[in-house]
Amino acid sequence: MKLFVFRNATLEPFFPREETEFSGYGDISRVPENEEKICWFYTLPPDVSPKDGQPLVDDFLQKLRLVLPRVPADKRLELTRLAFPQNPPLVLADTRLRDAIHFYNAELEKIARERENALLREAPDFATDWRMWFLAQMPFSPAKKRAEKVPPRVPAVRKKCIVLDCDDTLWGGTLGEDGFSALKIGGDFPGNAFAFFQKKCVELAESGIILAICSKNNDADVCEVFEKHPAMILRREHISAWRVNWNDKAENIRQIAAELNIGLDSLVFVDNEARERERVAVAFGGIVATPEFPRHAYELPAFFEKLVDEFFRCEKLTAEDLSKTQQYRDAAARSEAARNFSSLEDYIASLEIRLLVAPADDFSLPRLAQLTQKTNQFNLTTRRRTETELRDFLACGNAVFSLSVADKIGDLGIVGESEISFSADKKIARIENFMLSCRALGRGIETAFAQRILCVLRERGVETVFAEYLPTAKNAPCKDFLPSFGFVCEDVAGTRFRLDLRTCGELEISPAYKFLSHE
Amino acid sequence: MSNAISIRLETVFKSTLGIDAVPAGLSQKNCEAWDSVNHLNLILALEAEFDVAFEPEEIAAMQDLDTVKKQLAAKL
Repeated sequence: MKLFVFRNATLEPFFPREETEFSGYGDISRVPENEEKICWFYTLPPDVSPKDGQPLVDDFLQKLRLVLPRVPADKRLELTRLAFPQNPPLVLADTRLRDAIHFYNAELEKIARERENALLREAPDFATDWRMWFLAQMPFSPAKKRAEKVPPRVPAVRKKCIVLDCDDTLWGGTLGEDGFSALKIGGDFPGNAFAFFQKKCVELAESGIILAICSKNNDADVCEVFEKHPAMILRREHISAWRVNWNDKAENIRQIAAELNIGLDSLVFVDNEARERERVAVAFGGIVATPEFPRHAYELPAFFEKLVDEFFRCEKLTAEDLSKTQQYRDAAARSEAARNFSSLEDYIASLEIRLLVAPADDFSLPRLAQLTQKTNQFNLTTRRRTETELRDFLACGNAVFSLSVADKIGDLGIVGESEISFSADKKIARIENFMLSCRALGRGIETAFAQRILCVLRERGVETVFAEYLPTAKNAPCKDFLPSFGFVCEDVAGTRFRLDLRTCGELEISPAYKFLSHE
Repeated sequence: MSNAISIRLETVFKSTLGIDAVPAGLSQKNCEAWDSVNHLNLILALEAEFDVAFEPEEIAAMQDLDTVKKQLAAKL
């Protein structure tokens, strides 16, 4: 017995393969003549928004009505009901999705009554495996039974604002390193999982939750993504407060709360970096919520559901809720100028950062070469090296240093590289390369690394150090780096610098860092 | 990989792909039945049989018998 299935998603695992033929996704151009049985099996995408429910079921029904006249009256026709969503909605009084599903199922019942050979099929009793949805557009998995319905959770006090990081939180990848066009948003997995998360953030905004951005990046770069990236769902108009800079995130969050005139206890901070969450949790004694971010992009739906359960679900919306987002955005625009300075020192001390500056060895050379290839933001000269080039450089009597970083949360491994060449009499040193991975930026580590290297050079009897800053599209963060140590600019272009180690005085290293000996 | 597990693995391959034997070196390239739909079926069947879950990156990489064995062995 042959079966033909009209469908709009991946359903193959639910039917015996030899006996079943499938339409294309959402394709009704062909109505088969030879199959004995026809099945109408459309499904709502598991990430459907409440407002999209009715337009979608209208589209499904329109398609079905185009198919029906082409199916012979005596042919067996099975119509599959739509399943109700497993999770309660963000706003409990929002029945749009349930109403749309009721409407669709009632229409199917009408058709079944009118046609002699039509009958209704229950919606499948399976739950969504998001991994399979993102990978293969499979809306539910044969291996996952729907769970028992649980009563919806509504937080006693609804949070007012969600503060969002960008890299690896709103999109996959690191903007400063990978670049605009390499970001993973939309399209295949994992981009579609990040698109899901953005879409849900828009739903939050539409329910009166204020969205804020807090990201360590170049402001202009992130603006460009929000304004020009074709796959972005979140846009500038959704965002009420904006802090894209290299400052301490706790200070940024304090400013965001002040700017929006809401309490710190109304904020939820979402960041994939455990260090940033820890920093914010510690800075405010746990008053700002810092939920743990999932390790895998396909866990974003479960993560979002948890955010809703714990912080954002409400019974119903007031008119005030709905206009709130705009009010806050206006207020924020007025007071953005009123920022003040951060207490980065306290933060750094609390992290118990440990640094190890060591001469390159066989173990570190491959990683150091890789760093020179990949590091873009904090990179004075952006000279790319292979492992062989670094070995040759060392063989000429020069020095290559690695920087490893660990703190109380974990070990970052090797995150910094610097190459120093020497004059024949070893009195003059030249910094050929100096870089720090973006993973370690924003904690003053680059300064400590440079100070340590300068100390080592002075101990070795070096009198003068030359260095360069070669600007690229991405390395603006290190523009003012060399002058901060007393390097003097030697050319009009602002690229060549000189430091006299005999006269520059003490090279102070902040006591917040603990240096480990490499001997 | 133990003999018992190898046999269970072969059984999954045979029933999912509808093939009589599972030769060494079997891959998506040399097996017509191992298409994208059956790849999905295969992953679901393996996860059910061995009670494991593969990461998306692993699922994409599991394009031949050897890799499937390796990924599976790493989870058991």
